[in-house]
Amino acid sequence: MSVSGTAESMLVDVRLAEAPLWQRWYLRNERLLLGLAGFVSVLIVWDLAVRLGYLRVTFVSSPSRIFDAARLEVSQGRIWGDIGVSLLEFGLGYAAAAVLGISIGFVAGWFRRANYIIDPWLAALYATPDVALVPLIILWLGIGLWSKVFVVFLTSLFAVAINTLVGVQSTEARFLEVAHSFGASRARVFRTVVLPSTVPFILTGLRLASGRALVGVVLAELIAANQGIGFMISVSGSTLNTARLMVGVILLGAFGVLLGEVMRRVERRFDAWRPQMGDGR
Amino acid sequence: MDRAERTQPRLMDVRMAAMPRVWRSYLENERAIFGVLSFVGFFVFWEVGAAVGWVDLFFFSSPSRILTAAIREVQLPRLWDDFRVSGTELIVGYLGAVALGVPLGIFAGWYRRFNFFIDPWLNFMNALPRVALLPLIVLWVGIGIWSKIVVVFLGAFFTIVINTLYGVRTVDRRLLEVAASFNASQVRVFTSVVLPGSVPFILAGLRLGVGRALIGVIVGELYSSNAGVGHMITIAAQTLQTDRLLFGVILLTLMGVVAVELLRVVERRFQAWRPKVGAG
Amino acid sequence: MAKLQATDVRMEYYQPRTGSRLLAIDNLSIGVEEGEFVSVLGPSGCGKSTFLKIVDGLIAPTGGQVMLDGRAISRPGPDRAMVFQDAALFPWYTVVHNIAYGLECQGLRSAEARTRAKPLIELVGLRGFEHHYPYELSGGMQQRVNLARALAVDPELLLMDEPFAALDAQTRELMQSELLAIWQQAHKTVLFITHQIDEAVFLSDRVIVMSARPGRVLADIVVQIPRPRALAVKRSPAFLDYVDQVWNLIESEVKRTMAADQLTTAARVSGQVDR
Repeated sequence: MSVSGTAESMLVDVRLAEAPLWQRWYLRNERLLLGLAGFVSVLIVWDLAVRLGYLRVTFVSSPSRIFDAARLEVSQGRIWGDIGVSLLEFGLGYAAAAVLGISIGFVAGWFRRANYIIDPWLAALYATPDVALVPLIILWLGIGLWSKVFVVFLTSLFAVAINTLVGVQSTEARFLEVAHSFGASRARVFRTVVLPSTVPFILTGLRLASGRALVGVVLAELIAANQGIGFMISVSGSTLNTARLMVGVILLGAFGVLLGEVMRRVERRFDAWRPQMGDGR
Repeated sequence: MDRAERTQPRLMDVRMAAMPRVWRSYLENERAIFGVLSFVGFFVFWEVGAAVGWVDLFFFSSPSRILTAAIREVQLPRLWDDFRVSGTELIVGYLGAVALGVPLGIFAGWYRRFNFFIDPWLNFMNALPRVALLPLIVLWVGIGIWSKIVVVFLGAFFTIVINTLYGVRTVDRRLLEVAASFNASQVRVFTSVVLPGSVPFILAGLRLGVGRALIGVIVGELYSSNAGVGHMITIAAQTLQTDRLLFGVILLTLMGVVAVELLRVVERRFQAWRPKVGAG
Repeated sequence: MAKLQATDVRMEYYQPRTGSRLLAIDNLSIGVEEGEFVSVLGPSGCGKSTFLKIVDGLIAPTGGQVMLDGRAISRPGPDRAMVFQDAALFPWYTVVHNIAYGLECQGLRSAEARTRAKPLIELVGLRGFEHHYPYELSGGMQQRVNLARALAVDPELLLMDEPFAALDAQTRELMQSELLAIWQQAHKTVLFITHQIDEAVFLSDRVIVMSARPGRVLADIVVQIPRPRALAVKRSPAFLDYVDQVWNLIESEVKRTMAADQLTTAARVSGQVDR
């Protein structure tokens, strides 16, 4: 409406235009600078606390030790195998869940009677804490690659399927009416109306699923595995090699951040045509 | 999801009124009929399959065996001990996360610079599968109840902080302006605008958090424990008692459903001022 | 000395990300007499809402000053009350609680504030809706609550920020005539922001026409239509003459605004692709 309404958040008092250069530079980059400061200060306090003996090295290691451990891991090269195995487990299970989950979602959303059959199952299985099934899955498939692939598959499947289903069902009736009134065939209605309006929901489902899948793969590797980042963390823990454990934790955290960021970017790109709304993250 | 369909009286083509009654009542209850049939069909297939030998009892058990195991287990004190341990871990860890997470989220939402300052760590910890910290936590506090409490806490804490923070940050600017225009004190701005405006987000965070907390209990107990429902599942898996294992899974599901439903009730209670339709 | 005197009010913003400046209001001077109903009319984005917020004390101007009864305004005070755009009611408070809000802010206890709010519910014709929540009210009713909330603190100057812009045409007309009735009862000085010509002419003693951004005064027109005014006035030749006069002043400004909007929209869209 007016100047203040839409643009106020970016506009500040004009007197700042006369402020010294560094102050304007700070304002432009405040978020980044403060974030960096927060990040670095924790690392410094951590390192100092260990050096001065306030924290026990066995319990928390220290940033400098973790850095050394990371260098050692990379130079030894064993870690690449663990990373590769974990990625493979994650990738296979997640891809399978995406394909099947989206298909189930579309079938259950598009065909009324299929929905009546599938919907209660999805609701029930979504409520089941599927990590509790990990011991059973290991019983079924052993401690190798395939039990992890299946855990990833199971933990991500329902989030994808349910979001797709909700997406299909929340296609706006107005648009369906427009398509019908122009005499669009069923296939065309699906392709031109249902599919585009479902895509954002699918992406949300994929993002939620990726977080759950990551938890699944790590847990399965912690409990029973002979390779993978979770396995490496578990072994480091039982051998009191805290620095190496932290390297694994940081790798997982970085992967989680990267994954979430990529998913959010993709989501935003496909969402460009709809007005911005808040999501609860 | 289909709340509207359930609460609103469904209008149908008047021609339906002229149909035979059996057909009409079938149409009215089609959803329920299909749902029940699919469940019944599944369990019958499973049971019969197990009896005939298509389904390997050793791997999948059977509905009747799981039921028998359930009846046996509920009569044993060890189940209730496990249940109590898991419940304690869940409640203590979760309440801790609420007690610390909500204030921190409000604080970080209100003070923008503080938010910027902690943002990287918050994002990192939220994206990290916190299961990965289990070995570390066990190193810190041992395999007893406290390691699980810490895991539960970590599971719920960041979700609660982030939702609360988001709620405070997205408070309606216009209402802040109204309060400022009436010269409202800081305390009043907080109690009349910021808090009620973020309550829905806080409650959503609490509801999401309880799910994460439950996963924390399970994950923590599966990894290392000496009691709890997750421990029972581990033992059942090691002793190849599939029926007992699946009973444990069902028990955990029920715990989760009850906890989430309780929070939904709380959520609804706080929202008298919201339009009823589509509030889900 | 006028009741309200704005002298050379200037509002300039700075955009830290691009380092550019934006002049929203350019040396605006307006005087309003005691008991007068004055409208400020201008195309959207001309800074009229910003000006109102300056008068309320929500924003500090970068130049010039605003005096009320000879005292400079620096922050919101009990002598002014704002009727906000889009009602801006607290969705979690009932009607009576919303109306009592300003009184509670002045330190009245909740029960007393609500007692004092009662007559205002009568005044705006909302008896029986005291305990409804805003979502249960129509747009017109929400605006009545909005008006009552401002009147409840008994301000000397009532500031109204396009209060009827979001209402449908019929409701808007009815609200206009009700506002006049209430105004004649309450004897308030009113500063009214709008972009609707007929609304400004119908309600006001004076219409101040603003230019497109940066906002300046284009004209100050005294409306000499006798009061009380009924809605039928809107079809009288005198009324239509005023509307024509204002429209002639503002037409080129509106076109300028539209052209500028297209430019910024184009810029925003291309910016979005880069992002």
